[in-house]
Amino acid sequence: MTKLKTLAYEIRKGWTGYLFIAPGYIAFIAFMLIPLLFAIGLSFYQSSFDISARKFVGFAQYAQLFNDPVFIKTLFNTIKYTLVIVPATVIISMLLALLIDPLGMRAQSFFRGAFYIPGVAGGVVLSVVWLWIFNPTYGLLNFILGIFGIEPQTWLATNPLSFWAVCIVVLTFTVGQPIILFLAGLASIPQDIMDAATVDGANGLQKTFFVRMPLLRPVILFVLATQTIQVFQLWEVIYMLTNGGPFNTSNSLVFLIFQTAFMNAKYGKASAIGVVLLIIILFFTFIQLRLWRDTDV
Amino acid sequence: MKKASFLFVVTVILSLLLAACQPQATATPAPEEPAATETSAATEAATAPAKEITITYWAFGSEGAAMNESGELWTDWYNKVFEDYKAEHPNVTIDFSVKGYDASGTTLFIDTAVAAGTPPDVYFDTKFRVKKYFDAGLMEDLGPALTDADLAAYDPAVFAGSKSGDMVWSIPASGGYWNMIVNKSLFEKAGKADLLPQAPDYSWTTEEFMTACKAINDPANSVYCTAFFAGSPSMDSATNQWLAGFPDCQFYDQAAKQYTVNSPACVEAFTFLHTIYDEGLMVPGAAGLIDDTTDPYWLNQQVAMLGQGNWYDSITKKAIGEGTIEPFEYMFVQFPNQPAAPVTPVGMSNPDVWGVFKQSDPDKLQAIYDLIQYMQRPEIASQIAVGWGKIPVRSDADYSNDDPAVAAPLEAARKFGSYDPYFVNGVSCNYTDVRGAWAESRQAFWQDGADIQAVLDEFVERANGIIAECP
Repeated sequence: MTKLKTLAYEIRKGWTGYLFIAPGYIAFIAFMLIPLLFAIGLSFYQSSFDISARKFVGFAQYAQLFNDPVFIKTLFNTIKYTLVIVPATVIISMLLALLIDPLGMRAQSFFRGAFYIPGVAGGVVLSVVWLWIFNPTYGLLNFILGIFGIEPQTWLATNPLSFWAVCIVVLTFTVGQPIILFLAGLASIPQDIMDAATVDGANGLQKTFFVRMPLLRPVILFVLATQTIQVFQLWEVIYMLTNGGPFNTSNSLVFLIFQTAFMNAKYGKASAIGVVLLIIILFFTFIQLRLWRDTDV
Repeated sequence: MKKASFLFVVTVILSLLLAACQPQATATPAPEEPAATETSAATEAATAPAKEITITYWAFGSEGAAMNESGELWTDWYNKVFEDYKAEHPNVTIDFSVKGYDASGTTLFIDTAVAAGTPPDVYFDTKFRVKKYFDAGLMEDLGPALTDADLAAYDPAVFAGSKSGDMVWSIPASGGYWNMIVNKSLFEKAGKADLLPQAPDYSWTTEEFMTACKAINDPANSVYCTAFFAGSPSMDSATNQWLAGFPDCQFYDQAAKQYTVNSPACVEAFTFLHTIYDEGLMVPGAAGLIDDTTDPYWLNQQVAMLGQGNWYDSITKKAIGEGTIEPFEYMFVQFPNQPAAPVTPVGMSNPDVWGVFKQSDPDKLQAIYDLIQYMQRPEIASQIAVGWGKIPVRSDADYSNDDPAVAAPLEAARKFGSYDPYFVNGVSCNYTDVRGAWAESRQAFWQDGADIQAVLDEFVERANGIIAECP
């Protein structure tokens, strides 16, 4: 009772503040929380076009999912995408940040822009460009391979090339933001620590591995967390490049949700896949938050 | 007071948002509101005006798209037809709009409208798209819209796919004539024109086809014999059409309600197709290609022969007319048949059909039947067919093609019967799911060293599993 009174007092005291945050919270409740709860509820129903005519099936759709070879294949693909793209993004963006960091302000600005622009352009635009690069007959990539006498490849239609083709395209726009973050992290390392390392006789490589990287740990964890969530939600590149093919070897869970809901009109099943994806993302986020907490940041 | 006001505002906003999120009570359209001028039943006399009815009519297409032959805009053509109809039926208003395809080729417009409880009354689209809604139990039986004379006039192969038992769930307006199209200029330039099928039948065997195919194929100069597509569930018929030359291969057994495309005859057919792949006679990347990505190959004369002839005929004429490509000559021939088999029947594929969503008002349903009866008459339906670069599917339709390279083989093809490569040997329930599985299997098929029997076995197992779940 006392707690409630305290809460009421707090609200009364700061009502203008609550009014200011209300639009955000209302939007969150209306467009995130309610649809999320609705989707969780819908996952227990068999439902097609007419949602009001849905049929309660309990956990049957979840059980079916784990017997569905397409879902299993797609789940493993999504995990594979994460295991390939996330570490690659962190490593490539950190290497590029380390190369850009010592440059002058103008050069830094140029490279920040150059690497960030693909992220702004978005996956759809980049996919259109890469569709032509990967074209088996006219494509730039096969043209370059041809110079070295290598047979042309069907990048988007052959297993496992299509999977790697998607990874390459995704990497072109995921590295931009981490580069900016790593550059900011590098700039915040106190100069006296670097000077102390120099006085202690550390060479460039040793300074990077034993001074810079440990100090960048919070940034690395932040990039890992955000990239993992982003890659788990990967779909637009797949939609544009491969449609999940050939035979679902490049499919992802989010694209499978799209196919299940909007191409096959199985909204209940699509919701069940969405809930599974939510649980997976929550699991990874929880692990990363634990790691983050241990960094004392 | 301030607190109460704040809570009131928040409650109102939340209530409005929650109300907006409530699902509709039903997917079927609400009954028509009575017209403001409608008189009460008690005062209705024989002279009373007929009930005002509004019919929502959606046709696929896009705003600004022109009809194939005349160049008239589809919207203008439809409005003219509906004005004429309105003159005869003054109580009926047709609320017409065209709805474009989304990039994935699905029917998101309709899906959204159905989910919102506001589907159109009449929906005109390709047959397999309308079937999606029939499978969901959302379509009306259109049998009452047809007379016996209508039923007798339809191409049996095409009309069979519009029925389920005795129920006519769609009425076809047109069919795509899927002869094979051949770039004659390429063969003439190579001095190989004598390898092509000749009048009067324009038919050839698989062996003759392979000889011509190898003779024209020149990957070093980016000229390929042919192309296949499997990049999406769409274009399954482009592969299935080839099965017409292998009459012992039954894709689906209608009587047993089982998919049987893993039979020895079908394995033989698919082994033949894979030979085209193995020998490098086709545009690379079939597993990822769709028809749109293959168009430039045809228009730039980098592929010599393709199925789905009506489509390529239409885009070639358009491109030549616009001066965007170098003109070349092409001709139609029949799909190859096995040496001992009869000449392949012409594919009557991709029919555009009318479907009608479930109605709750019997008067309105009757008005819709009248409208469908009017639209499916040969003089109207033929214009729709030709407008889409297809042909009418009624024997009483007046149709001719001005292009002799198309008209002669097409005329020849008619004596060999017709074939529906979409719904080969009938169609099962849950076909949308089966179609997805078939696309996946075709993608597995177009890989190096594909085990054809295993690919077909896996498909049959999946497809029969899908139809086993049918209600």
